[in-house]
Amino acid sequence: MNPGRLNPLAAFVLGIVFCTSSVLAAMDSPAVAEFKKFLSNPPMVESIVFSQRQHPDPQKPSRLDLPLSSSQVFRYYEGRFQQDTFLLRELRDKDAISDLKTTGLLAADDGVAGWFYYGPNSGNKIIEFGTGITNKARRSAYVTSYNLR
Amino acid sequence: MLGIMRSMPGSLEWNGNKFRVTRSDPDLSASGNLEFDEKGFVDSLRVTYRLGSGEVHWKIRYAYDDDNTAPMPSRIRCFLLQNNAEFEIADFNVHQLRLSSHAMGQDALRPDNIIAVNQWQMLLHTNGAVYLTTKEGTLQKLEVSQRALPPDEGRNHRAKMPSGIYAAWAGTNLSIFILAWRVRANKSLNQQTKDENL
Repeated sequence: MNPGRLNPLAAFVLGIVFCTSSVLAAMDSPAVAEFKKFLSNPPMVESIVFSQRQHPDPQKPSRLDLPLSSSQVFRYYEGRFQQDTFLLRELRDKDAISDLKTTGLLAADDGVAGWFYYGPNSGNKIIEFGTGITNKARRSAYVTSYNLR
Repeated sequence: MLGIMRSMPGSLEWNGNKFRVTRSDPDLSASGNLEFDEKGFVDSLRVTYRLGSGEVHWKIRYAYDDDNTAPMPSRIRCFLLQNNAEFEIADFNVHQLRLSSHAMGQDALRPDNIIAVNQWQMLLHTNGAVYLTTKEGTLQKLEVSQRALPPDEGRNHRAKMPSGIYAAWAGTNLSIFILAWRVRANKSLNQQTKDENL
């Protein structure tokens, strides 16, 4: 092998390796790419079941001196979502999807109207909000139900 | 929104691993950055919420089921960062996630069946009033929502002044004018008497 040609060849190979590694470093892993896509362009969710741990002091959930992990009380929810529409309701437990009896919160919006049920203290009444996302009460209910979405 | 608060779904705009929320509550803006672990999974999001009262910093941590081949987290925990300490505020566990490749019909997102099974009574909030839906299907007005002041009306304080304040203001001015006129009249009368005495 001609020693005079070795240096340019090594530089070329090193350059290729350096460029490839830079490109790979800038590229997201499949999991990161999927995560980003989920937040910027959410997919249609046919069904999601999740639970939320409740604060150990339900009377004062703003208390920071009690660790949340000390609570073993959970509330369960089922949800469906597609662009600008959603349905969320509280479940008795995580396996109670087929049971339509909803003892807790319900929030829904089909893109035309919205519904909000505040739970058993609401006197067994559900509120339907009129048409149009510009309806302030409906928009407020939509935005404040963020933790369910 | 996987732990991001008060923001509309799909409102995240990415620039590398940094993001900002484009649609949220009007009094709030949010931005932050993503961190991932050595396996290439998202480990956490650092989020800064900017409100009129200042900035609030949060960290959202994600965990994944061992047998979970899907890239979405199965546990979402939200921490408030305050005075160099972390306080756990929320803890969500995802038990089931089923995505759909085709659009769902409107019926799938309406709670009609749930309302019927639970026998909830319907209240309708529309056109600034709340109505009770009776069993006969008619609407019975319950209350009228308070009208919000248009922004320009709030700024123009004169438009909000009641007429009584105008009357009191005009009355005071008239009293001062009459008093001044009477003082002046008395002065000229005294001067006239003085001149006559001389």
